[in-house]
Amino acid sequence: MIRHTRPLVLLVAAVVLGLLAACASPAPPSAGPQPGTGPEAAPAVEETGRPKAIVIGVGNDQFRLEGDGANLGVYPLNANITETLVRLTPDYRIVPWLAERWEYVGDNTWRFYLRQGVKFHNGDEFDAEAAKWSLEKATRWQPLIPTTPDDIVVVDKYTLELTTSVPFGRVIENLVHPSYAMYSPKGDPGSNPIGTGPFRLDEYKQNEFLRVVKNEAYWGDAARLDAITFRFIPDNSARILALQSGDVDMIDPVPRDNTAQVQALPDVQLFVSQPSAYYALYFATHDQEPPYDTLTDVRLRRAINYAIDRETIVNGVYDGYAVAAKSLTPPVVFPAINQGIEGFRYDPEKAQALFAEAGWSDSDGDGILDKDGEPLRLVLVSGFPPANLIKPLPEVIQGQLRDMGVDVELKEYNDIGAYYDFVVDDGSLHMVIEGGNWNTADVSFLPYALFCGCNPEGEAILYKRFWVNEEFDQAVQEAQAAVDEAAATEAAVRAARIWVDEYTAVAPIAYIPRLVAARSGIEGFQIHPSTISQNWASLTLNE
Amino acid sequence: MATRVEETRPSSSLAQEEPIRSGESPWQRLVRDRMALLGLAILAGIVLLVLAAPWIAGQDPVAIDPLNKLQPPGGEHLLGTDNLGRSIWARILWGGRLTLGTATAAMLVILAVGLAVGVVAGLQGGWVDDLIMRVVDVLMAFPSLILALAIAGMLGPSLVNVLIGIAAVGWVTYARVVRGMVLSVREEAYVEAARSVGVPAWRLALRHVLPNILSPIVVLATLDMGALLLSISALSFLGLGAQAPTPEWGRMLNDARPFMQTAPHLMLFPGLAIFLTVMAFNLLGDGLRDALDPRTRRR
Amino acid sequence: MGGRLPSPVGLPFVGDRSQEVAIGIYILRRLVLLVPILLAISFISFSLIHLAPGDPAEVALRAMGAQLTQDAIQAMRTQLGLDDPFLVQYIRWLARVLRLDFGASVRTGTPVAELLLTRLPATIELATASFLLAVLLALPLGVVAAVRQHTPIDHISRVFALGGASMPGFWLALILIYLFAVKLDWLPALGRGDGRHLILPAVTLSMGIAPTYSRLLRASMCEVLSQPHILTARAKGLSNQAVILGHALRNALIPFVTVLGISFAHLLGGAVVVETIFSWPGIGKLAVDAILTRDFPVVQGFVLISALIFVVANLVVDLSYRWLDPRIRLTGGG
Repeated sequence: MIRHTRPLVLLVAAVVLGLLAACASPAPPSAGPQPGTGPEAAPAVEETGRPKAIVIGVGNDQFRLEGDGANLGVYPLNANITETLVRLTPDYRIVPWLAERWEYVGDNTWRFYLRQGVKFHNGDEFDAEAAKWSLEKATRWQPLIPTTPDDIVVVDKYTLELTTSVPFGRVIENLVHPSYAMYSPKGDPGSNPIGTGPFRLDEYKQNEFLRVVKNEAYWGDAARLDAITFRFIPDNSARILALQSGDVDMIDPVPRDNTAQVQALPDVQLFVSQPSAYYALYFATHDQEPPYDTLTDVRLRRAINYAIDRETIVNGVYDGYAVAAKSLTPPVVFPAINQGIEGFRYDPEKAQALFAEAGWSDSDGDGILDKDGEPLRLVLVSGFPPANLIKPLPEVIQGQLRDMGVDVELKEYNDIGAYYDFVVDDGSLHMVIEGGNWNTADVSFLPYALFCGCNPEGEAILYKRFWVNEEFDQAVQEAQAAVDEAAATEAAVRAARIWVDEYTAVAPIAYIPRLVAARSGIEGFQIHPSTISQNWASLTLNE
Repeated sequence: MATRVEETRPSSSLAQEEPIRSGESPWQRLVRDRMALLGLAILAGIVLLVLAAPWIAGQDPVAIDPLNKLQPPGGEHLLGTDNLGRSIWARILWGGRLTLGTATAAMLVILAVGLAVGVVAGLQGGWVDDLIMRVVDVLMAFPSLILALAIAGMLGPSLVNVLIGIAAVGWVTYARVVRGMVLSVREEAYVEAARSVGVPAWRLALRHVLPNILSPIVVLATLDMGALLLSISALSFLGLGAQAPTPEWGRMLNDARPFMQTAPHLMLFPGLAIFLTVMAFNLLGDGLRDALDPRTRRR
Repeated sequence: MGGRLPSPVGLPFVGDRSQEVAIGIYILRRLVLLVPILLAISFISFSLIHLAPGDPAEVALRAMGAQLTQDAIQAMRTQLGLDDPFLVQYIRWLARVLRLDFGASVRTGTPVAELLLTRLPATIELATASFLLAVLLALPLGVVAAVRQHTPIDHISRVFALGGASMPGFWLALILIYLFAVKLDWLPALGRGDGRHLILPAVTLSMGIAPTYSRLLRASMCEVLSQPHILTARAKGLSNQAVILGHALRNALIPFVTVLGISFAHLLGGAVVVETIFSWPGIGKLAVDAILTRDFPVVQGFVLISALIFVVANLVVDLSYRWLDPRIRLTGGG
């Protein structure tokens, strides 16, 4: 009898041992100067009373941990560990920050007078050497400002000069970007970023959470919370559930097509910013082989613009938390642009007229337009932002165009790298749908980064197929180089007019705000339209 | 290696055990099995419904209407609308065509490959048999859903690739079973006689082997259809199968997740559809097995 | 031997050295046979990545944020050894794998081995809890159903078996979340933490295998119970019922062990879906995320690890089955 029971006992014992082993396994490797004991554990602060800490549910963990591009805690989630020389206010003005003042001294050179008495988290003083180190790091990676390490010069302890390699008027506007964050050279931006911000890094577990604690020696207004834990919850529905169940105190971002549901939750407040981002279609009009060259006909591009029912999208998909877009620049960012162009409105009759004028009609009655026996079939690709984040907009566009007789095939990518592989190299497409953020006050940024042939060697991300024309390049270049802001704005308006009205290289869909939800008790939150400039120090908890 | 699954799978038939009447054909036994008939009825009903989709759906399953999203069942739309205002009833019907169609296609591929490979292995013997069995062993070393997931994932998200992934791992069980049956049939006197006379192998397979293994294979296949359906909808649920805006039951379930709070009916109906269809296959399969092999009914 | 129930499976031989040597040789043979299987598994895992469209060199360059000039692409191809023959690439890869170097995630640069190892405990915890739960559920149900055939509880067990086998796991998960997390707010809906977080995922996963267990147990028990010597023993007296049932159970468990290996496959496969729904930080969720973001080195590592675990588990189960069942031992195994 014993012989028969023993195997069973051993089996159970093995299983129990396995369970014990799993529960007792050591914590996975993580970064941070003082490892805590988990996301909810209290920070090691020496004050009496309960520490005020909150948990914020955010999206994917996209930090880079290696090399010059390392940006732990800085981008795209800015946990206020580091700060920049200048700061962008929620209404898109630039204010001095770690740089007290600056001036353009001619010859493409800018001089910065740094704030004195600012300390890094390790006690060292912030000075021009640290600034130079930080700017060099950014310059080696993917710089927004064209310069070289040799052209960043320490004049004296608190004075720095930067010379751009080409005429570039938008230096200050770009310095608000976290890629130009001021680090202490003694830290490691990939595992132990040492900055000057109101919070400092406490613990990080990749794809799980990032925890920051209050910097007691902060030079400005101290943080009102003792600790913030940013928990990575990429899944939209899981993030909503987490807020609902109390697992997190705030979520950022709120899934856009579910805003009404989140708002209806009891004891939940919704924060809506001014829109600073947009969704739009970009049309491939160059270097396309048939059958992917259909959209070289500008009438079709205009027809598509007229065929999109933006109001239904705003109200039906985004529950009213969006604005129908006229251009790719939301009003709060640069009001002059929308004022200077016509734009398109939903007009199905005009759309139909244009399709007909271009030779397309539904001759076989199947609901899809055709021409010379070929149906009007367009390939739409979605991947930036990743498909799971922009849903369901591509499907809605697909549906709306189908109502107009255009058969749209949708290709979705959840990985930005794979998306670009396909769009840039393969190119078997007619149009893409993308979201764009205006994170800096540089009016030339997006056209330059995405479309401008003036970007040397065609480095603009979407340059080849989505290029516009020479005039556009000229205008963008002027907008970028002009030191005088008025001249820059004028050039930008000119570029936008070509972009939307004349060449119609794009179909703007909607301007979208940033949406954050928090449970009642969270106070002091001043939502910034741009995530990367969000200030968390004013947040507090009131229970 | 491990004992074959089908040998350790006992009957879960809900039928009452009844005395075996001698001289009864399998069909007669089947007809008396109430549970199996229930499964058949459910299955027939579902198949008829999805085949009739073009006439009874009432709506274009991909036509969006965002201003009418998340409507509850009853009212204008029988089962309500989803988050883009599409009719859930229409999407269930058309999605059923896709899901069932893909499962059927996958099963046909699996049967074709499994039968062919099993017959070849059984009849040829020798190193061919050894090689084939090694390949089968290796493929069985992977948890099947994981390998199908990896294959479909690598090839790219599409229903066709899901089919390829599932078929690529699904044929091995059948190859094994068929081979075993072929081996036992091979020993039969009449087969040996035919071989000695010089009848070619393929004709042997066709005339003597296949008819004998048909019934066990049918049972296995029917029971397996349920598993195939679950795998296909699971992979679609994860995002690897049907792409927007094509309706498919697994994908519809995933799309329903963010709206659980305000519109639970979105996740109710696709899941129910899968559940009922799989259950119908299981009932029918159990009934078939009991009808074709009366000994198992004794348990 | 007097006073003991004669066992239908024969008495174990105690202290027979020849038997133990035979077992030892058998184990060794199985381990040796494992090697070609492991090689073939590794080959398939390696080849999988070549199913994917796209150029790995470009993918790597893009992940580094470098420029995609023709020179850079060619340099990367040489660096990755992509121009070498397939077999050479495989051997090079295998050598790295044996040193536990599974490459690095295309997205984050973290070594795949590290990613897998840090997340493996979570999956083991989930799988173990699910397994225990399934056994706890299926054992009493199957046994009682067998002992009291054709009574209501028997019918319940059959309905349970049928319903459970037909239920899509991901649907059950959503229903459970809706009921217990959203509506009642008794349990958390996602993540891993204390025991409460484990409940819903474990219940969902266990329902994938519990019906099969209960069915099998019931059938197996029925078979054992219907054997002549058991029938006579039961007929003879009521006082020994518990002992008789216990004995029958022990024998009924033997075929049960054979199903363990297959149900392990269900656990591993089902864990992939359950982990994704509940945001459980195990290797299943890691794999799905990697597939959706086309992070192929991670997928490769996952497939390899899963197959490895599965093969080892099957081997252990197979060996313990042979150890358990002296019938097989007596015939020398093999």
